[in-house]
Amino acid sequence: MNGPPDLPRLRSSSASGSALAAGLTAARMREPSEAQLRALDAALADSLGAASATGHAGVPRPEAPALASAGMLKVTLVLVALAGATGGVVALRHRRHVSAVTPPAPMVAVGPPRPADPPAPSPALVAPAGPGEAAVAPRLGRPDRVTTVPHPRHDGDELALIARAQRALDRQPAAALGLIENNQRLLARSAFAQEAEVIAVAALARLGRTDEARQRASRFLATFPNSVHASRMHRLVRGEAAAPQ
Amino acid sequence: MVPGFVRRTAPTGNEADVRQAAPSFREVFDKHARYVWRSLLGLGVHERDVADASQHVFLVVHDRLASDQVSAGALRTFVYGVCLRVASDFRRRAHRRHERLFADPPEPTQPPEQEQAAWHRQALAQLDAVLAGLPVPQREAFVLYEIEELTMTEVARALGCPLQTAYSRLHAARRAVTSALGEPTDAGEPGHHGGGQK
Repeated sequence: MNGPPDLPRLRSSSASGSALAAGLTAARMREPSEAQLRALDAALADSLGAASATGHAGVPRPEAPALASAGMLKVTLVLVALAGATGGVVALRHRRHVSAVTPPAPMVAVGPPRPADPPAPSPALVAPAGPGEAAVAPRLGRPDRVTTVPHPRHDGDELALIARAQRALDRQPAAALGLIENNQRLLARSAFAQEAEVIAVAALARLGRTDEARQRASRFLATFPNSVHASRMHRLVRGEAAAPQ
Repeated sequence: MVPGFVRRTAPTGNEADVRQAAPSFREVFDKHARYVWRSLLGLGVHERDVADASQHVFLVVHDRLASDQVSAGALRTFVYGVCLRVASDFRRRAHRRHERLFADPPEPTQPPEQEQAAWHRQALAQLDAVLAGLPVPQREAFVLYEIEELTMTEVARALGCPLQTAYSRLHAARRAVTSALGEPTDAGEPGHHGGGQK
């Protein structure tokens, strides 16, 4: 933790009243309003859905307006079905626009809905219609093959892909690995390349492919030695990946 | 459970005391939401997108907390690391949409008593414009150190780079910013009387 002493910050060391000092002060104060925080809170609570057992109960919602659309209703039904089929552990989350929850606070100029959002749940997660079917892709009897999972039909939401793979990891590691492998080129170029690798290694370990997991984890550590995920990869290399969390 | 890693349900808001009692997601949100929002703006996420980007950040954080993948002592730098990646993602999307990456100019009219606020907005717009022109690694180092006021050790950890690399990026960013905004280029630099006062 001991490095060279930190530099004086420009906000305090630059001339009082200068554009730099004023800009840095204003940037420091650029926090969300209470209304914006409430909107974010409510949107998160909706997105987390059944996963709100983690303690994120959200705030009292002024109304339930955003679920009115047919698309959102379909997602909600799928959520309920999945929660029932999986004991509520594996929750399909659907990221909602914060601006759809409450009216925007004055600071934010809300534009028209972005065409890129929101991504519909993937067929890989939604397709099982029967109440007793698995939520993700079917389990494989051959662990050395990755599950065939459709490519994301959305072109830009790599994060949604990562989130799906992460959720599948515990119960359907083959499906999680399939998601990563089938979209490797997309993910490798994305801002979430590291997260994709972490999930792939964990999935390999859970599938019993420990040699591959360790090799891949070692490559990750060589590529990203200072990653925030390095400690987890070290644990994976040590064979702790399959341990219950 | 791995000792020293965040557990989901133990209640505390004190990051330094996470080994005894790790925060719930609710507490993490309450503690971190403001600076997540602020740092995303500093990192170039458009105001129109910052709410969605913040939501992205907390979905990732939630996943990590839920599976005990975040070292409790590194929670803050982890959150900042997620902010960096989400901001990068949103900047790329905005670029695809050919949108401007910095804030709108200040409103043209202000009552006299708000002159100070108007000055701050104008200065902020200038700063945002300069930051938008920096190479991303320099911008990230500058925002984390000068606006978010992390220590350089935390900055290096969040950036996932060696400490000296973080310093190099910060110095380069400071030179660019101070030059663009008319400050002496040695403002705050070591070996230059430590202050760079005008």
